Formats: sequence, structure tokens, C-alpha cells
Amino acid sequence: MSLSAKENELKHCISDCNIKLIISSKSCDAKQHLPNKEGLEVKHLEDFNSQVINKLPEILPDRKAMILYTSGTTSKPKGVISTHKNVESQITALVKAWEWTKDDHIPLFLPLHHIHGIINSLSCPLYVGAKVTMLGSFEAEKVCNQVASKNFSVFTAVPTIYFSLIEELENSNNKDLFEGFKKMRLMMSGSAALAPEIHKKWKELTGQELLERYGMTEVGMALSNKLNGERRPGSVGVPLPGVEVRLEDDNGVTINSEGEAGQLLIKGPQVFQGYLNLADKTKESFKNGWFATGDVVMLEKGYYKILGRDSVDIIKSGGYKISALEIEDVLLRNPEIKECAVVGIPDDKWGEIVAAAVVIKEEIIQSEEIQAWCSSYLSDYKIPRRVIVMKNLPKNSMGKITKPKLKEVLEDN
Amino acid sequence: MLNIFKQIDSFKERIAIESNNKQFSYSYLIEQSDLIASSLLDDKPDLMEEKIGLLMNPDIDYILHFGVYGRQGVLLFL
Repeated sequence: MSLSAKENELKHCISDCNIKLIISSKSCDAKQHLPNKEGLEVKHLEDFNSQVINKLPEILPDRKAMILYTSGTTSKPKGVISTHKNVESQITALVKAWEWTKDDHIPLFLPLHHIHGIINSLSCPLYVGAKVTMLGSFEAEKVCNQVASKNFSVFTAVPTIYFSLIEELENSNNKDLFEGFKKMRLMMSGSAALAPEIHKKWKELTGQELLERYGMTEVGMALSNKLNGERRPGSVGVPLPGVEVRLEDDNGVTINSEGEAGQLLIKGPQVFQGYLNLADKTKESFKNGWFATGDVVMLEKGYYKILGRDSVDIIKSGGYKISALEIEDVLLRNPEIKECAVVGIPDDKWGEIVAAAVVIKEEIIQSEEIQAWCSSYLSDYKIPRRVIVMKNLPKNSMGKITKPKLKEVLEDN
Repeated sequence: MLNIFKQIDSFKERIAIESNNKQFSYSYLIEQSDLIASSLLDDKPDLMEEKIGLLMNPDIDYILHFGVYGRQGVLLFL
């Protein structure tokens, strides 16, 4: 859960875990949202006063180490239990693939209750002896000041953060800032699909080709574009070290050819142990030892491409399976559109129809103009039938758009 | 002991964390997390997968989680 979580959200996690102790600090304001629960003790870090260090017990790899809650962008957050072995496998795969060294230096501004923050941004650098500059929550100006004044070598963020940074850079003439981004050895994007248009804009501004990868709370990172090789916009590359993947069609048959979409299944030492208190859900998430991600993926010229989350990003309309991400990419090519999200909403005739929510920059733009824009690039059945302009899109603490909430808004319009 | 802890032991004098304009070495990080974990242990040999919630600002206080891992606790990242 996030530091900005409300009482009911914290209550869900605390009850689900049946937790007895929470460690916080005196300066942490988020404590005010903790629910009153009998038997729940909140202890401040400042009150720990042991002066003696006890002998460290042996750590058994298969014992539980960490519970992270899924982001809840598609359903109620589930507690994901990872063992020490899972955590270490997740870290070592990235250390190897992205060539982390003790000389690296990374700014950390992502929430630490997500895999992206705790594994990619914090644990990987600490595993190799690198330096982490902790900046609190993301603020574009603060991050830019740090980039301009420090020698960061690695940077990882979510697409919405790159949106904000592009705005900052477009309005800046600070040479140190541009240089700060330019000289990094690796910049990455993940946790949500990065529109190829943003990839292109970022490269124009900083010279950096963003490395996209794919991961989930349940498996850590699984696929990544190559550090030393092609970084293909809109693709998530190849399996990371130690990760096995395969695709399966709707009938459970393995897909061996390129260009055919199917559900992504993952196997390996980094795959989680199970969902907390959800034995049935855990059982149905595994198929003969393979974790079924629920994401629809296609292999294209040797690289995997995410078409979307089956439940929210794949729109089933009139017999077609439409990728919301493809339409979002077209919308973002329109210079007047700042942000967008596409979902399917129920329709008696078509099953679902394509609906889009957009945030615009300055000019007033009508929904008909947006549809006309899409018709220049997309087949008729992919053009959004409903378009609304919003001030902001609903997002979670990672900056990830919460599509189920957006669906409700679009259904009501 | 898993490699994650062995690894950290091998670069004790390097700077691990920079937070609020202060720098903290790996040895500081190890020592503080061990002290906190020792408090949590009390007289127990290990935390026996006890679930411990963590609700903290993302700064140096987060060193704690290494101590809990190291003592066989299960961390719930709140």
C-alpha cells in the first residue's frame, strides 16, 4: 500500500495479513490513516534501543521473505508472497542483464511497496555496492535538479513520469539537465506500456533510447530489451536470465510461431510462492508449474510485444480482439493530446465498444476531431466510438492509470 | 546465508544511501538494521516468518527491511 493510502485500503492489507506489528517512524504522516484494530501495535523506529546485536540466524531460501500487494488496477489487491530465493533470483537476473556495478548511482523516487521500486531501484544497486539517492516521492522539478547536479548512471521510471519530464525539458534551457540525462549509461521504463511516441520524444530530447522491460509483482522482471542490442519501441524484448516463457492460445495450446497472440506464461526461480489467503486463486494462476500472467503477448521478429492485459487492455468488439495500447499510441501522436487511455465498455450489439479518455494540452479539441485523427491511422473497427476529455486520468500511487475506474466513468458518459 | 547478505558485507565502507543531504555507508546500514532486528528478536532464535508491516517514508529508515529479512521475518510493504 502507498503512503497516500486511505484507511479502508490499509485495513484490507492489515486484515488480510492478520498483522500484529507495524513499524513506522515519528515523521511518517501516513500513520494517521492506520485503522484502529485490536491487537495491532505500531512501533516507531526511533523507539528501538537495542545496543546488542544477536547472532544472525541462517536464512533458508524457501522461507517467506516479502509480501507485496498487487496494484489493484484490474482487481482487488492481492498479497503476493515471495521467498528469499524468489527475491534473490529477481535481483540477480537484473544485475546480470543490466550489468549493475558498484560504480552505478541511481535516483530513487518510486514507491517502495511496488516491485519496480523495491527490487529494481533499491535492491539491485545495494546488491552490487552501488549508491542510491533517495528523493522521496516524484516531483519533476526536484528530480531534474538532482539530475543536473549529480552524476547518475542509471535511471528507471514509469511512463507517466517520462510524460512529466518531457514537459520539464521542453520548457528548460538548463544545459546541465540535458547533459545529466545524456551521460547516463542506462535509462529504463516499465510498470505500464510506454507509447512509442514517448520513446521517440525522449530520444529527441536526451539522445537516450529507453530500455523497456516487462514485469509483475508475482514474478519480478521477466522480459527486457537488450542492454547491448536493439531497444525496440513498443516491445519488451527477450526473457531475462533464468526466466522461461511460453505463449498459449485460448484453447491452452502452445504457440510456437511468430505473429500469433496468446497468453504469456512464466516459469523460473523468481516466480512467487502464492497469493496470501487465496489458495484457489493461486491454484488457478498456475498451469503445470507455469504462472499464467493474464497478459496477451505476441512474438515479433524475435522480441515479445505486450498487446495488453486480457481483462482491460484487450477489447473484444464484434468478433475482433483489439489492443487498447495500439489505439493509445495513435492518440498520443496527436500534438494536442497530453495523456490518454483506451478501454472497452459494454455494448449490446458489439459486445464491447472502444472508448477513449484524453487529457489535452491547451487547444480545445472536439471528440469528432479525435475520431477523425484515429481514422487516418486505424481500421474503422478500432476507432473509439466514445471519446471524453478529462482534466486528469484516474491513477494509482505508481502513476499507473486505473482502467476499471476509467471504465466506470466512460460507461456513465 | 543468502548471497544478498554476503554481498552487502563485502563493501562496508562504500556509500550506500544518500538521503536528505546525508550519506550513509553500507556498514552503517548493516549495523542499524541488525540492531533493529535484534530488538525485534528479543529472545527468539529467529522471527519464524512473523509478518511485520512497514509504513515509512522512503528515506534512510528503509534500512530496517534488511534487518527483518536477515532475521527470518516476512515483510509486508505497506
